[in-house]
This record gives sequence, structure tokens and C-alpha cells, in this order.
Amino acid sequence: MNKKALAALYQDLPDLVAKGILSPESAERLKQHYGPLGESQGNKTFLLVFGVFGVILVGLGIILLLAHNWPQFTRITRLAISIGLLFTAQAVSGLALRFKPDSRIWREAAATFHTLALGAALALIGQTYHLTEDTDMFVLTWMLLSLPLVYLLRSGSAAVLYCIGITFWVTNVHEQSGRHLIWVLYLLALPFYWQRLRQDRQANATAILSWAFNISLFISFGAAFAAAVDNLGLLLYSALFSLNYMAGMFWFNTAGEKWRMPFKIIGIGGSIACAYILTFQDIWRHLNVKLQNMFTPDLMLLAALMLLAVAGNIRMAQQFGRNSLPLAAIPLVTSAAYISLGFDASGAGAAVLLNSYLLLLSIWIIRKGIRQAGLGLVNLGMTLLAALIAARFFDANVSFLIRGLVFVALGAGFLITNWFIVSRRNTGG
Amino acid sequence: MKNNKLLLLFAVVALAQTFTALHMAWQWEDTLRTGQRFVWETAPVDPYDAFKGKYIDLRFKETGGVIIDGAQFTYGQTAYAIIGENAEGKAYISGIASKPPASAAYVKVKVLYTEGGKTHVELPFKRYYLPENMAAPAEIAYRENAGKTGIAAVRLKNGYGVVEKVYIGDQTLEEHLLQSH
Repeated sequence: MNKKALAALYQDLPDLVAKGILSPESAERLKQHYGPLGESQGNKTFLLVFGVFGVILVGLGIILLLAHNWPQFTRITRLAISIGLLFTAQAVSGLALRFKPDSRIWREAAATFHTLALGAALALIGQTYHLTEDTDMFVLTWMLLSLPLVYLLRSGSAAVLYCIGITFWVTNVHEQSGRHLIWVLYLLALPFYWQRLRQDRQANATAILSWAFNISLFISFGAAFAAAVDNLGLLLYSALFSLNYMAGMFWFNTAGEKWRMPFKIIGIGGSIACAYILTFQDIWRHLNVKLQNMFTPDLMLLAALMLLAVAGNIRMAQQFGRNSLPLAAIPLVTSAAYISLGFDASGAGAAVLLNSYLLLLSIWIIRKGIRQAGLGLVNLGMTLLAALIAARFFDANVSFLIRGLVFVALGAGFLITNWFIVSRRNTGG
Repeated sequence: MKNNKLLLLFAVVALAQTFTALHMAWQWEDTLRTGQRFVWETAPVDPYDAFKGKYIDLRFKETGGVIIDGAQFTYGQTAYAIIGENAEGKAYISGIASKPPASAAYVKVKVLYTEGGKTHVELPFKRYYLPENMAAPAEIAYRENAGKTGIAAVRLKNGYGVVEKVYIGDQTLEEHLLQSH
């Protein structure tokens, strides 16, 4: 558990005991479980971080040493080294599990070392027999064999390595249809992640795992649905980012430091980036959306994501009020722009729609930031606005007429917003 | 009690890991020891693409054959290349099939494309790992000699292939490098 959360818990304990919610014994047991607050907690974290990093360095070092490919080694020596390395790693993990099951440092370090040593052992065999074709098979075997360590040693760092490994795997698979196995691979690790979220949501390890999981998911989606992404790319990604953001709002909206909950950050960042790319008319002109058949897998996937996005928007409105919608609605606006391509193939209409939308969105963000006195939000809005203006100023592909109109609208929008905020402040003050 | 169960599970996982590593090694060792030996002529390589640090990329002259069972293949699909020997004792692909043949030597391949009645495939043995300091000179030696005198000896068994040695003329690549140094 992170230090602040633990401090808050310890602060609340006497009150909880006084109110009879916790028995004095339970409170004592909680204290014993989490240990004393303060420096020792910080030291433990440092030891854990450096322990894991040290082990990662040693593991990678061993991999590099073996990659040197020592000509003196015969095939049997190589096999002996490979199996010896594996046995050593297994012994370390076994000892950690047997004698130090409650020490996180031991469990994390052992699982990390074991995972890397397993990879090194398998790679050495591949090197000995000049194996090629199976980079993907090799990584898949490695990941499946190391996944149990995540559960047995309850190791977040092994889970992060697993996320990295399966992402690498899915981007290396030859056969397109074979890539969908990735969803099963995620499913296999999900119970662990779920457990971490339930038990220790605010912990650093959980936060790092959340980031790894989230980033991995987006890369894997791109690889698994490469054909669909080619065709409908930004719209699909826009829907996915938006769903990520809404998932962050619904299920990962706990108070605390924002970086610990990457769903919202990645969701907002990705949605806005997709919309921003689509403000360029050039992108629209070169889009080659094929919509002859309504029942292609691409469109089915898009329809499913869009339905989820609409459902998410409805729930957002119910749970957080209509004020929460401008950000969540990005995929809906984007799909309207895609539909407009049917009437205006030049993409001018679509680009104007996205530009107007992002303009309003940036103003809305700035306004919200000023209202909440949140400097971060104001800056996000200002940056978005500045990026939008800069892009249009240098965008030579849009006619002078449209550019002129958009600029006038931008300037007017900016003035009106400022005037609105200032006058509101004055009347409020 | 709970800890004992965990340890038992851990032992099962450790066994599976060891078994996989040993099985991998055994499968390739067996192919290398008892597989049928073929020599494959190498083809010139694209110099910008070939250098990979610790291994060299092998390209072969013979990478295509006719489909013998009427199967239709698309890119990336798995197929079986039946391997024969020509009059000069060099390996060639005598046919491509969707199922492994009963008796002839074969290798499991990925289909690339079909052109002029010949289906071209990607052979699974296309790397040759070398000691770090040898890889760069080996790359140059192999590139200079590929298609002329470069050949790779490959052992095949049950659809798997392992590169035994790469030769430049009569010498192994390693000997050739030692001499030219």
C-alpha cells in the first residue's frame, strides 16, 4: 500500500475502533500486516525498487553474455548452462516461496530473475540449433511458462514482463488470424490484475501494472485488428480510447494521485490526439474507407465499439451529468465526420467539423479549468487550442476561404470565451 | 498447509519449464544427429538487409516448387515442401503439399507467393548464429560467396530442419574466416 494511503488508514484507525466498526484486535492486526509507517516503509520501497531493477539488470546481462555465442562451448556444454541457469532460478524462486513467502522483495526479485533466466535458457537452445522462424513461438512459450510465476509468487514485476512479452509476441506473429490468441493471453493474466486492483489499488506496483497493461492493450489491438485498423483506423482507435477514458471514469476514479490511474490519462490523451490528427484535411482526402458491404468484420467491430461508446455516453450523462459528455463524445463526432465523407469526398466538411469540435472542446476544458481553479486543465485546453491554431496556420492544403473563416471563428471564439469568463468572474466577485 | 500446496504447484511449473527446455533441445539434437542431410546452394543477399549482428541471414537459390496436391495457398499459410536431390547432389524442392508426405524428406514452410506455376516458400532455417566477433566478417565472406560457392548443410527430420554447417568452397565458414584473418 502506498505511504499516503497507509497514513490515512492509520489516522482513521482510532476513530474506527471508537465507533465500533473495527475491534481493537483487528486494528492491531492491520497495523502488524502493513508494518510501521514512516522511514522503514520508504526504505522497504527503495529496497524493492532497486532489488527488482538490480535483478532485471543481472538477468539481461546474463542474456547478453550468452548471446556472445562462445565458440569454446560444445552443444552439451550449452545445454548444461541452459538447464543449470534454469535450475538456479527455480531454486531461488522455490526458496523464496518456502522461506520468505511474506517478503515482497524476495518474491518480486525471485520471480523477475526466474522469468528472465527462463528466457535466457530457451534462447540459448535456439542459438545452439540456429532456430529462426519461431521468434513468436519462442516468446509465446517463454511467456506461458513464466505466467504461473506471476500467481505463485504474486509478483507484479513478472506480470509487467508478461505484458511486455505478449505485446512483443502479437506484433511478431506471421499469420494475421493467429494474433487473436492475444485475448486469451490477457485473460490468463486478468485474475491477477483484478486481485491487485481489489486488494491494493493505490500501490505503486498496481499503478505500474495498470500502465503496462493499458499501453500493451492498445498496441495489441492495433496488431490483432491490423486489417480493420488500416481501413477505419482513427475511428476505431478513437472509440477505443474513449472507452478507456470512460472505464477510467466509472471504475478507476478513486481519489489520489492521478498518475496511478492511467485509464483516464491514456483515454483522454489518445482521444484528443485522434481527433487532432483528423483536423487535417489531408488525412481525410487520403482516407480510403470502403463501405460496400455492411457485414465485414471491420464494420462489425466498429459497430460493437460504437455501441459500447454510446452506452458509455449514456451512463456518463446519468452518473456525472451532461457536463461530462464533451470529452466522451469524441468517437461520436468522429463517426459523424466519417459519415460526412459520403456526401463530401474532399473531406473539407469532415475537417471543419473536427476543427470546430476541438475548438469548442478546448474552450470547454479551459472554462472548466478556470471554474475548478485547476491549472492542469487550463493548460491542457490552452495547449490544445494553440496546437489547433498552429496546425491551421501552416496547413496550406485548406483553401484561403475556409482558412479565413476558421480563423475568424477561432478568434471570435477565443474573445467570446475570455469575455464570458471575465464577466462571470466580475459578477461572481 | 497452504504454503505446501503452493510449493507443490511450483514444482509442477518448474518441471514443465525444464521439460520444455529439454524437449526443445532433444528435438533439434535428434534432427541434427539422425536427420537426412541435404546441401543447399545459397543465393546472393541484399547487403543492406543481411547484417544482423550475431547471426547471418541465409538465403537459398531453391525456394520454390510446384503444388502437387491441388491445394490453394495464401500468404503466410503453412505448407510442406518435399525435398529432393538433383544430379549435382544439391537439394531442391520437388513439390509443395498441404499435408506431409508419407515417406519422402520434407520440411514445414510458410508460403510466400505463387508465380509462373511455382509456389515460393520461406524455409524455416535461415539463420546461422556465430560468435559475436565473427559475425561481421562472416557476413562479408558469405555475401561475397553466396550463389557462387556458398552452401549450407541442413539436416531434415519430421518436417524440421537444422543448419549443420555453412561452407564456403570446401571449408566451413569458421575455417574460411580463420584462414582469411
